[in-house]
Amino acid sequence: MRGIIGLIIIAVVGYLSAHFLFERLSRRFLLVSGIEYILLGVIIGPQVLNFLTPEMVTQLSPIFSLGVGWIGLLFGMQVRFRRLRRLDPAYFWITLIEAMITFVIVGGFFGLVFWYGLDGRGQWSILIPAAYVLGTTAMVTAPSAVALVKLRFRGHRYHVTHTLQHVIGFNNLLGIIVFGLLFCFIHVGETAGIRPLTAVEWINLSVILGILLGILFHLLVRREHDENELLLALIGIVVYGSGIAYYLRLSPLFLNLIVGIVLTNLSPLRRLLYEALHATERPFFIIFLIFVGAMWNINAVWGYLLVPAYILVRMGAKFLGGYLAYLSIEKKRLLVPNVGWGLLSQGGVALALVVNYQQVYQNRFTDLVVCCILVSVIINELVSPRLARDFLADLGEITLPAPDTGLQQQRPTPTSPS
Amino acid sequence: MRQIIILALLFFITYALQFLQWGSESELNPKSMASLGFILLAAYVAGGFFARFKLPKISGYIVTGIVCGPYVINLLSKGVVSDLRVLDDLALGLIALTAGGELKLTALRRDLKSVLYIIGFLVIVVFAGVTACVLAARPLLPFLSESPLTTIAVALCFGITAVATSPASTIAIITETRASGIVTERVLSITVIKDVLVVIAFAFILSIAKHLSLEPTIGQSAVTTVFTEVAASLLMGVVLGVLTVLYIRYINAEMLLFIIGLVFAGTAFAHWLELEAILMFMVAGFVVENFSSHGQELIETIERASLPVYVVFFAIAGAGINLPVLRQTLLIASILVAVRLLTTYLGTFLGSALAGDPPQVRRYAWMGFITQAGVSLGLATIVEQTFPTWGPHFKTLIVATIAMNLIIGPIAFKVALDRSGETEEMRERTLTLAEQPAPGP
Repeated sequence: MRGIIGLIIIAVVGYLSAHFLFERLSRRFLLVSGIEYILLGVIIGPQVLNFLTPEMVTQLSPIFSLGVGWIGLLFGMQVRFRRLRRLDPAYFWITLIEAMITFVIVGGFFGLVFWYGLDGRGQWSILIPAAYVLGTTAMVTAPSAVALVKLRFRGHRYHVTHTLQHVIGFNNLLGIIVFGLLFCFIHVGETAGIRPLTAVEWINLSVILGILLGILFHLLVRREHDENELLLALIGIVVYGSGIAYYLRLSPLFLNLIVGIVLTNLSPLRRLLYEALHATERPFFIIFLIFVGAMWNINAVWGYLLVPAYILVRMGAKFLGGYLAYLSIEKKRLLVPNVGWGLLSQGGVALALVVNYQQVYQNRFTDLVVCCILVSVIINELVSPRLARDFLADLGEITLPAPDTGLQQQRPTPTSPS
Repeated sequence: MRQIIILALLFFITYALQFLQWGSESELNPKSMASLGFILLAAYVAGGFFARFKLPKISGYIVTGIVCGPYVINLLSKGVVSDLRVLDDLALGLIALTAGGELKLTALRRDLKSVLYIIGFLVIVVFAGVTACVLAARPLLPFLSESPLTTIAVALCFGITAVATSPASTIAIITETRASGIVTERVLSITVIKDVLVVIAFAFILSIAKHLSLEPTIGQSAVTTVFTEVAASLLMGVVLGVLTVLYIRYINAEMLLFIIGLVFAGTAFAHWLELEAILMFMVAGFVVENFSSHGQELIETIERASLPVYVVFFAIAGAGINLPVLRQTLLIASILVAVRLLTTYLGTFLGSALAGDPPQVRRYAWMGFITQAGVSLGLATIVEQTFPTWGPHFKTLIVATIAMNLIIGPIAFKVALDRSGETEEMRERTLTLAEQPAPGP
């Protein structure tokens, strides 16, 4: 009966609150949609009301994992090499510097915290994944904050805004790739009947599988033009890819990203495929967010203690990375030294990374890492759109106060193209 | 051929990767996921393949289920099917909502006479024919006891189970072929209404069978229980329908999610209160369609998610076909299926002829009442549980006949819709022919 009530709460209260309460708050306080679903998941999940029991979470895991794979595929589908070649190389350079500095600083800092503060001395197999996932989730930036600001406020010169959008796009791409490597470096499980594979072999396997699945899928659907049939095949390949990745303890995000990259560069149906993916992204993502909330162990006290440090170190690293990136480029009009203000939003990708980590690496650091990242994502989603707005307003790229453009309904999803 | 090679490669990958990873300790069952993904892709290919031969795609999905099921390549093993049960529930709910939503009150009022005549004759003729067939074929049924009363009880149970059809299959074929017209409407209305009546009639028959059977039985007054269940399901369906109307009218956001949440919540309620989930959702769909102006929105929302859902549903149904049992009972099952086909034709023909239906209804509507699936299986399960002595044998045979009807039924219904010119393809063809200029002298 508790389960029934839980499901009814999802179906009714969730939508009501999402639609009325959060819509109004979002309009008034410039919030990014999504947090309400995480909180809803927490409330009805095993930690609070236990309406959504662990068994139900397990039963619905194909949908949940489909959400993770979906995000990977969607990002992959945006990586068209022909289009990338036309972009200013400075964007790649800025991303590389900013993202890698953030990753190294945050990952390194928390590696030390775990080593000295949380008795992780010498326990590399649990310490590295924990520090690594904190580093990669710090590295990624959600496009939602900048996209929301751009939607809500009238602007005229978009130099830095465009840079931000490109950098954020690459940032997430890099984040998923770097994160995918973790599963190869610290691989969980044993091989059966053959010698254990090395990290390089796991990397090769991930890439080869992704490319193979992408090519096979392309060959499978190349004459298909019915949108419903394409959607069926797409769901099939994402679920298949995610299943295989989970089975091998690799990252489904990474594998599906490669599938997406192959498809978008190979298939003449790329537009149809992308539209089919994008059209169904939101329902999947909302279910995903509810389950993220449900799987969150809110009793992981150490996780909360880490949050201020994580947010501050990430912020510092983003600023330092942005500043160094500014110093390193020649076209100064593309960037400003304090670009870090526009890079603080976390969101969909960070959540997908942490879920992926939680599903594969189960150890004494898992709950506190998940807790720390989730709280950070929520806080960043609450404040980052306002920070990004003020930052872009100071630069003169948008105009305040906001005219009511009626665009509030177009709430961006965490994988909105940049 | 290219697609089959690709599927073979994917299948090979699935198997080969087992050697690279040992053990699966997480809550998630990755094998189920990979299997589900493979089945979706295989069903996509099979559906396309069947469509090339003018056969319904859902037959392709069913065949995919059979091939991937536990008796052939065992990719859709019993464990995987169990993992996917939640998706099966979702599928059934969505299909039932669509079925209810497709029932138009105005059309029902207009065709009430015909609907009632056909249902009446169909139920009587099929029930009487199959019951008589079982009594006549007694030597072929070794599990029947010496007692003639028990034999009659068994025959009655066979008779009433044979009357049930599959609304899910009907709605899937209609959605796939985008059929519309008098045969489509008539088959859909009759399928939905008949299933409600069958559930009630089944309770009566079960009660009679209990009195007749000398074997020990389990359970109490079936009639009152079924009446309560049906009444409560109808009531709950109305509540869900009203909730949906209110949601669409006042909120109308994230419709697909709302529908999915509604189906999960409704199914959970149905399990808890032992209600008929399919009936409940049909009524909900019916309420939205006929007592609000939002029926089209509901149907369109469900159609957006319908294809993957149908695939899972029918692939699981296909995987449930017990091939060894089918082989063992092939003769008697074939006889029962043949008698059911004949009586279905007779019942429909008589009903529609007396109601004065147009010729296409008389000729083709019966082909829409062949498929059996969930409802019949549910009834057989109740018989199995109620009569522990002969019930399991009864269910085995019923499962075999359901399997045959599940394979024949969708193809027959598609042929019926094609021949009556009601599928989108046939309508377009007729339109094109009509637009072509007449040949010159």
